[in-house]
Amino acid sequence: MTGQTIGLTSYATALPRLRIGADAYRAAWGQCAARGLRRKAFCAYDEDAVTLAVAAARRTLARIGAAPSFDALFLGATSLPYEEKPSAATVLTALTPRRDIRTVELSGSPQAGLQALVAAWEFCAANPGRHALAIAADAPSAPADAPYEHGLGAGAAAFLVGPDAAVARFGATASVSRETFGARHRRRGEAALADLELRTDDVAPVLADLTAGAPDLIRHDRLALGCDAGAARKAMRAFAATEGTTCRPWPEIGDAGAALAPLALAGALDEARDGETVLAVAIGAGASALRLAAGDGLARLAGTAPTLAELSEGGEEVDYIAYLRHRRMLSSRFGGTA
Amino acid sequence: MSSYISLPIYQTSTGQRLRMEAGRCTACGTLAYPQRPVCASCGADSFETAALSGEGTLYTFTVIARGGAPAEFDDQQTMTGTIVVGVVELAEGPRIIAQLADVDPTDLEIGTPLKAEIRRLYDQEGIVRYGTKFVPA
Amino acid sequence: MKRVAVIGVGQTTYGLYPERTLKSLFAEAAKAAFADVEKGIDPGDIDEAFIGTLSTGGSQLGNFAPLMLESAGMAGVSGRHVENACASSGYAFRDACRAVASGSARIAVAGGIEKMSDLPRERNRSWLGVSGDVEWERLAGTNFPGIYAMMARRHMHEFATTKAQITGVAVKNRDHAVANPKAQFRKSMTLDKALAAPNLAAPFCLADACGITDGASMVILCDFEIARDFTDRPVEVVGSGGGSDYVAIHDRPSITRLPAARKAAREAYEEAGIGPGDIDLAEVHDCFTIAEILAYADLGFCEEAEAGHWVEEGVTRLGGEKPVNVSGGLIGKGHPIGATGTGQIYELANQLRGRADEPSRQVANARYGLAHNVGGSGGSVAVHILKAVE
Repeated sequence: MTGQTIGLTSYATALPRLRIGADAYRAAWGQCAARGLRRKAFCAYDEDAVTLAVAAARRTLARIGAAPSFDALFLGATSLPYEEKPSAATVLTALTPRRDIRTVELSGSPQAGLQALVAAWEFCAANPGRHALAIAADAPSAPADAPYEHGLGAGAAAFLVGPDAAVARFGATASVSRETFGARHRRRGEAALADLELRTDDVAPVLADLTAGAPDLIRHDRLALGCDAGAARKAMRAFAATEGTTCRPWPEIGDAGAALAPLALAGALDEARDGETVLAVAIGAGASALRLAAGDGLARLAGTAPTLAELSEGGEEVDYIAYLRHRRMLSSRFGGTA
Repeated sequence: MSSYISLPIYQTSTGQRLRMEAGRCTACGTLAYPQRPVCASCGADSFETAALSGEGTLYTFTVIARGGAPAEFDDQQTMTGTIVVGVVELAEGPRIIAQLADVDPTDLEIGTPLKAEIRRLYDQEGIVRYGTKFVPA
Repeated sequence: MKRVAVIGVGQTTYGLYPERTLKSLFAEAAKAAFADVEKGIDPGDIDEAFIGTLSTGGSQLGNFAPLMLESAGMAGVSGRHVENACASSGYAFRDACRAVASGSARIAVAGGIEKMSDLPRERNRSWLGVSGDVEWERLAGTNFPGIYAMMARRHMHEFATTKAQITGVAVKNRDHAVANPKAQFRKSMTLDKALAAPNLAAPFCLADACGITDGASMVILCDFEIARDFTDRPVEVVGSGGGSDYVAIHDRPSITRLPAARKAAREAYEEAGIGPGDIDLAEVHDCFTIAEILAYADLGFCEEAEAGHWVEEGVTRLGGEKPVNVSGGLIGKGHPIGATGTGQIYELANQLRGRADEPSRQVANARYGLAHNVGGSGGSVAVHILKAVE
């Protein structure tokens, strides 16, 4: 995809308003099993990945005063309400009356959000002059008594991709696949994640493959990580990154599934200066990496939408019972539905 | 159940529910939201689509006690308590009834500025219905 | 146009009767109405029947009227189901009056019935909320009290009406119902207790609302010329008015008045050749307290801003200048939705004949009585004026 400049015209994030602290889990269960989590964002009863996707997309378009003008919509998520019946069509209905827009849903792992962004890039490269909207939105769930439930959060990030790449230009992408056995999986028909919590390290081998296979790719000025605190330590070591130049939102918003790496990317862009290289990495069943170069359009975006840090710091903290109620985990009628 | 919104009716209204599309009478310019077959102002029956901004102010509201809302919202009420419902006076003129979200009713008064947001309304027959609620602007 | 006479009225005692059937309830009201025609009447002579109900008890959707007619010994009579939400039997009565007035029926019957107590809680809520614009008002999550509560909040905002004045309607009507043997709720309620009742739909609490009621009522009408063949004490229907309005409150320019009620009242007064000042007693549609407050202005009794004060000052109490809902109204007597309209006629006819159930409730020198029956939040309204006959 050389010879063309494709990148971001706009981007934005959306987080639900509600928060729950790790201390609420400690009060309920005696511990918060998500080591390193301080607090997380979660969906109110009337929110889900679709409503978050719409919110992020609307913010992305509104901040540049744009009437929706895109010809493809790529939606990366693992917790949409349906396995068949495209939520991307619902998101599209909320954004535009146009029906002639290609919609693609990507799922399957926490990489799905960055994959949607890469797919949008590839669409624009193959269709010169056109734009695409890439949205990553997720609100994964797990059984209340599963330790891996403690870290699950929610959020969305949206990106308007096209040839007017003033905000950031795409540089390169690489990915490593890894078939994991027992880690983070969800069978068809199940709404809740399962994880056998084996001792297998699915992160270090992936990072090793990534750094060996694409040594140029991983050079960066800013690192955006979609993974938990433990994986982040390994990744920062592998990429020689410092805390000051790394955006890793997990300790503050939790595991937002496929949206976590795109959220981290948005957080890094919020801070980035013209000319800096931003490397976004999503880790889960392998890894996806995407490098961008920040542009002069970033400065023009400042102040037109809340930053990830602002959204992250905001919100209303509630207790564990309120969390269970909102997340339908106490409902005999709708518990277990995505 | 003898009264509920059928799926075909819901489907027809998604432009109005999700994009707040009003109808502008081609004869006299009056906005109809929700849309209607015949202009309330001049009686003509031809409209063009005009999407509203989603901004408005609170015209009136109520707080439905737990257990009081229609059956579709029973689970929501059981889980999260009272429901705040209001009539919103939209910036362009029409008014619309809607649920208010993310709000403490003691902070509300007639005139409070609001804006539209897509939220999940309810699940029925295995189908999710989305719609617009209003949050403080 | 013929003059129209009411020659017999009957109703069940309003209450909750989950084990009674629609058929037996209606039959009871019909039997009472026939018995009220002291010179006797042959059901076979009835030309048209109009029976109002909202829900058909949740089950009998089709051929509802014929089923009621056969239960009441009127098999063979031409009948039909009339529906305008809570104004169903008010409209049934209007249709019956117009059939007689036009000469197309010599004798007609108007009745109503509602069974609200026999469905499980969830299904009950399903149809109870239906009289609004279901597509929009229901999906906003509101119930019926919520709609009127929003109207009340605007009334307080626009006219400085107070909550105590509004809830005072319920205190008055519960007081009135104590002496009414047909009433569902026969216990008084103090204002303090009423104001402290649990929230229903703010600013309404439970005390501001009518309850769930089962009941049936029936009225027999005929050409005034032949009324004395049946009774020495007919009552004349001198005015009838009807109107409709946008069903959803967000589609109305104002929600502190019911244009349908104003139109219906205007027509009824015009036909009767009288004005609001001539009305000696009124049975109005207090499904919620604010609805009675709205009625005072809609019926031309006073200005909007005065209505709350009228309640506070006792103007509309039995014994006051303008007695309203001496039966207890919907809040005190009960509101079996489809039966309420003809139930109001039952009360007015008895009052205008000097025969109120329980003499202590009799309005002295009652000459003109007005019935105001509203469907839903004002989507349909029927107003009737009855006159005592010397």
